[in-house]
Amino acid sequence: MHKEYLSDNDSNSTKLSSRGVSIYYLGSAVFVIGIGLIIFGTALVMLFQLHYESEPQQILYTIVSIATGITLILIGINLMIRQTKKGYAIVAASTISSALAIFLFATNYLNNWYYPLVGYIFGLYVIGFLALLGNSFANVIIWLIGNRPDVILKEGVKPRLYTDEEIQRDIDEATKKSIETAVAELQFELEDFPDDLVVAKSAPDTPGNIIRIRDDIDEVLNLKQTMTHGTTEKWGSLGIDKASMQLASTISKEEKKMGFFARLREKSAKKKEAKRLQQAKKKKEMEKKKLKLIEERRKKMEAIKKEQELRNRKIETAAKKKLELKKAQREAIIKERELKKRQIEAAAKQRAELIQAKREAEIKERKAREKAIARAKHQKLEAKKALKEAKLKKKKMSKKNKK
Amino acid sequence: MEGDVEMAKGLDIGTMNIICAVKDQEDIVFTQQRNAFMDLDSSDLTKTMLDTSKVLYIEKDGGISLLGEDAFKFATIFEKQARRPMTHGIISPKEKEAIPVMKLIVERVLGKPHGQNEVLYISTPADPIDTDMNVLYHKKTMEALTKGLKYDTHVIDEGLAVIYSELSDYNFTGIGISVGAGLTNVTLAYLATPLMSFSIARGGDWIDEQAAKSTGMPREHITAAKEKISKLNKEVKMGSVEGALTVYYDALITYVIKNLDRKLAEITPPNVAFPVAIAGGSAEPEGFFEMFEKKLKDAKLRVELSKIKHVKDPILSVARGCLIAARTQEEKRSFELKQQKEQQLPKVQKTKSKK
Repeated sequence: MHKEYLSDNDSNSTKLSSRGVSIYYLGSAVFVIGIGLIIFGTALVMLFQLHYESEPQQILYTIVSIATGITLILIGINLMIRQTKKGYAIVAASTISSALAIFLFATNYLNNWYYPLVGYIFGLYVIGFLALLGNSFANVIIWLIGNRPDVILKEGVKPRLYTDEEIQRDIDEATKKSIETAVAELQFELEDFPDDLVVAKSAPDTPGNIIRIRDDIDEVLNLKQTMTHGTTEKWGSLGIDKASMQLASTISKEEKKMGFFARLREKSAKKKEAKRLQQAKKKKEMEKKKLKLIEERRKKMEAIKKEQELRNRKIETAAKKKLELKKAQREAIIKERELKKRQIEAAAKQRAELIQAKREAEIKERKAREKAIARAKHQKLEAKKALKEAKLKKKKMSKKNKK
Repeated sequence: MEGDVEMAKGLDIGTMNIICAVKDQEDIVFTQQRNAFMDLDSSDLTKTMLDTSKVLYIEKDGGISLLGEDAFKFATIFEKQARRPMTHGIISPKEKEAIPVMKLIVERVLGKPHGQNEVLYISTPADPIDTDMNVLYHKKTMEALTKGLKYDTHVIDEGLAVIYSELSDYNFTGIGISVGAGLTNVTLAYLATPLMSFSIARGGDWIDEQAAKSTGMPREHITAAKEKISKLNKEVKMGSVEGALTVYYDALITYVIKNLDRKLAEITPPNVAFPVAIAGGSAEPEGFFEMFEKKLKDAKLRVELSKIKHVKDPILSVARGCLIAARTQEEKRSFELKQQKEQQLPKVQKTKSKK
């Protein structure tokens, strides 16, 4: 319940939680209710004139109201005091214990009001009561100790000792500051040029190497925004104050001059004017709302348009991809066909060449054969001729011999 | 054109460059000039030559001092060392002519104010943590110098200017690092409010110095090579400038990150993830950002890092941040003036009515 009031850093020495204002008020309210109940209980004692033989109902009401009152007072005090997490846990536990004791008393009184139950219930209540009392006392003591400056330092934390480097740094900083002050106070008097120094008569036309770069330097706006981020302009309020003061003085002057009826008229006119202004304001607001709506619609439309464009683009790209894929497939098929065609053609060509070669070989063979036959025939004829000649020679020789 | 230029300017006063940023309609115009000068012997011939080539110079004690970019160029040509009015991010105590030279350069870069008390934000370094140096005197001098030009001068930390320029998307929360020539400035800000600002006395000049020592080349050559370097790479030719530069860039980044972590231990930053923006003239070489990003990720800092932002124009970032601050201030001021006028109006009416 009180988590928001609890400190995250529970490990510190005091272990006290930071608290909100509301819990203090809650504690006060509970405390006041407790006091009210005790007063009520006391009133009942007086009213019923309570004694040993009083009616059980009277005793019950009186005791319940006084016991609840005491518990509530202690809870209220605890809530008003700074608590640790453990403290809140104790308060919760003891409240439950006391409430349980009161409930058990209310349910068991008279009919079951025998020992040892009486002892248990009384014990439960006393535990709750003592825990609440002890917790409030302990926390008050812790708070008192925590506020003493000599005990704020943690145990074991030694006072800080400065190193030589830190001391040197401090000295350097002090020297730097002193130089800064001295330099800031310096007033330089700049002479034109020393008398013995003469600038050339014909200096170059350009003061140096000139570089021109296209640049809008948008950074200026960004820098301005970064530097003035979150600052308030005082002008507005001041201006308004002055304007309202002037207006007030003008009005008061006019009021003094005007009579009673004139003032009444003025008032009604003012009211009318105020009404008119209000209506105009409303109208303006309506227009603003309309414009806002239109703007929102426009933005939505733009978003839809963009989405559609995106979708269309996606579809287009998908279609393109498909087309490209088909084209690629077609090209691949064509290529394949061409390759096959080329292969077939090459095979046919090869075959034709083979046939041609065969034919040529056959022709060559035939021709050779024919040549051989012709040569043989020729040789035969020549042989025959030679035989004939030989025979003729023989005949001639024989004829000669005969002669 | 003058009429179109809006009030408020940003000025980055760096050891190597002085850059002015001004808004012109939809553009930002940056005017950049080298913060350097170089002495030459004076003669009529030299003067005529310089006049014809329109070189900015001053005459003093029978000598000539070239100013700005030309001083740097001539130094590289003559293999001399250009003198610098500023060293380690502040006015050089060794240079007597530092203030008049800087005044002249600033005057030329900044130009005249467009109106009475034009808002000007100038960048200044934060106090270095690794050297006994105070930047307050420099701050005050620069403030006085620009105030003398009739500007309403305000001062801003370099690191914060980087945050203003680069971390707008993160509500100006994050770590701004400006790697300049003289110093490396670091600022941690939360919602545009600086929580920690410090600088480190190492920057581009330190890299040049170390690389010059290692390679035996003049510093000017190293500086020129650094500005022309294509990429910081670990695969380089033996004895090359690139190799030395890569090594010392690596060392600088490590040093910056270590110091950042050390400083973070001294504060209790809000429990948010911080983005990091790295800018500055010495953050220009390609590969620098990647190197920094890798080192930052490996370092495991005490704060959570959300993003490491790659700055587009690191050299212009601080001037841009100053301009943003100046324009914000200008708008704030005009708003306050408007308010004052509106507040004064009833008073005037009252006195009139009394009369």
